[in-house]
Amino acid sequence: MKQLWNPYLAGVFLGLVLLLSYLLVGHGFGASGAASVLGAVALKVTAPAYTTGHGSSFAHYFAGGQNALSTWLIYMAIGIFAGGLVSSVVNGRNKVEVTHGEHTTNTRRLILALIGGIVMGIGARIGRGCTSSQALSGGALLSVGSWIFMLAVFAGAYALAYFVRREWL
Amino acid sequence: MNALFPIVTSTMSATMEFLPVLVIGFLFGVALEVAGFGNSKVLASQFYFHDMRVFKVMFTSIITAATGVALLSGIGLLDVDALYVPDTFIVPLMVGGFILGLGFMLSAYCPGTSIVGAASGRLDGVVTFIGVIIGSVIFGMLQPSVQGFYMSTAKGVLTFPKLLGLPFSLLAFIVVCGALLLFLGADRLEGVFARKLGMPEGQKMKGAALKTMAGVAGLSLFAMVITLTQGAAKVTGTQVNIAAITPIELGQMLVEDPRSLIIADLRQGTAPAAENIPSAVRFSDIKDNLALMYKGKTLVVFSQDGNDRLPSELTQFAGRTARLQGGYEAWKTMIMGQPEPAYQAFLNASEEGRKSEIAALHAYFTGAKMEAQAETRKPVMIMAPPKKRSGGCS
Repeated sequence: MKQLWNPYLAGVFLGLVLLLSYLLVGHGFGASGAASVLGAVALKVTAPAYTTGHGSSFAHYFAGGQNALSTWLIYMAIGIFAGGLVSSVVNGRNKVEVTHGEHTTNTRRLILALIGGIVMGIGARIGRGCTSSQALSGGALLSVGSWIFMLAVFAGAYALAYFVRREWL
Repeated sequence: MNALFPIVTSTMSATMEFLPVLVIGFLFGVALEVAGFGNSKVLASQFYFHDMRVFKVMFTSIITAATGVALLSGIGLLDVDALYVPDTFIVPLMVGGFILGLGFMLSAYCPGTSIVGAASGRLDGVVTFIGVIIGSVIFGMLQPSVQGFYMSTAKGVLTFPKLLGLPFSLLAFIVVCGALLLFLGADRLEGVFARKLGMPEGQKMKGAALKTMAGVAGLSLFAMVITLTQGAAKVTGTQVNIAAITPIELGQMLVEDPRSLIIADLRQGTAPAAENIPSAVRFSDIKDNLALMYKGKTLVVFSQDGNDRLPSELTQFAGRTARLQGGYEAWKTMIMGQPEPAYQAFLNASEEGRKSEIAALHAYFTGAKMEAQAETRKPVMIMAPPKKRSGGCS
């Protein structure tokens, strides 16, 4: 297993990729947007009634009969997965496991991960983005809202850190 | 004056960007993985201060990208106004960010890193991403009942350069300096907490990292210097910066008090009458008399797409001056025409609540009958909510 990059060098690399994104396509990253799209598609398959009609907040994904999956958000998510896969394999870090602290169990970890994911999904929708799109991509363009969002993310995480410390320390 | 970058702009076909986005996503995934963000333990360590890798990587990437943007726009290669910036909704973004932070702490991933975690074989990453999908569906169900809050404190595209009236490159340089100070603090703080908690300590800004960061800081300073020296030249010469108004605002001014307006067309050559804003005159016809014109009026200038450099003569006009945001294209799509896919680029989410105003203006200026409103309203409603260009979750 290779050592991780120095965080500052990894940050410069990440920043250059973000810059490349601005230059090529005029916008930055997105990750949670793909989850929204996948959620809408899953809902259309399982409970289509919720995805049509005037009051539905999912209807716009399918407006005009468009394929909801035909959006850059999905392509980016595929890219992220592929990049993560290749890099983790090449660097010997790919391992099927449940990562957690020493004092907790796999089940507990997975339940918390699921709850955390759900909470993030809600937060990302209210915040119109996640760490990738809102904090990084808007932050580097000095968007006021993105900086508010980013500080709030750290505030929320630090506010909870003490209470879940046994999961990690 | 068109800059080389960005290559794919918001008015182009959405599918054009799929291949570049795939490549960018791949590199993004690699960057997150080599940063260690495919591992929730690494991410969680941020919040116990013994390894502040998340903070270091995030802010380093922000200052690197911001420096690149400042530099490339400073030398005229990049049109920074053409880049997508998410709309600011002060309270929803604060609340959404806080909630996302809570989830981040529980799952020890963010949505993007959960994908990398999943790709690295981490089952907790898979479960987190599934959770994100479920959470976005839950919010989608609740959204109609919290729509008022969701759309509250809307400020449109609001950046610090716009808010403070300072050049991007200057603010970027300040952010770079601030980040470097915080990094030095983080590098020290880690040692204290690592000893206290008996946990491993994060890597520092040393060796190659120090040199690279010095390079970023140097480029940022350089970008600021070239922009400011250009700016100084522009005060005496060409560059004019004036307030922007939206097509909706212009339309309302035209309806309410057309005589208080002078609308000047900056486009070269003659545009056909059908391709013009009512009562517009050619800027070239009035530019020599601007100093003499009645200052009680508001002078609104427009170009084809709102991206042209403004003529220096504008400063001679003593009254209020404004430029039409998005130019004639925005007027055409938003007020006059049948919306095209590009339409959404012109409508801030903060203007979503103004559909009826747009419909009324459309009826007024196109002479459409009121029953035509239903038809004109429909595309607006289809186009407004998706905000396809939005980076993340909407």
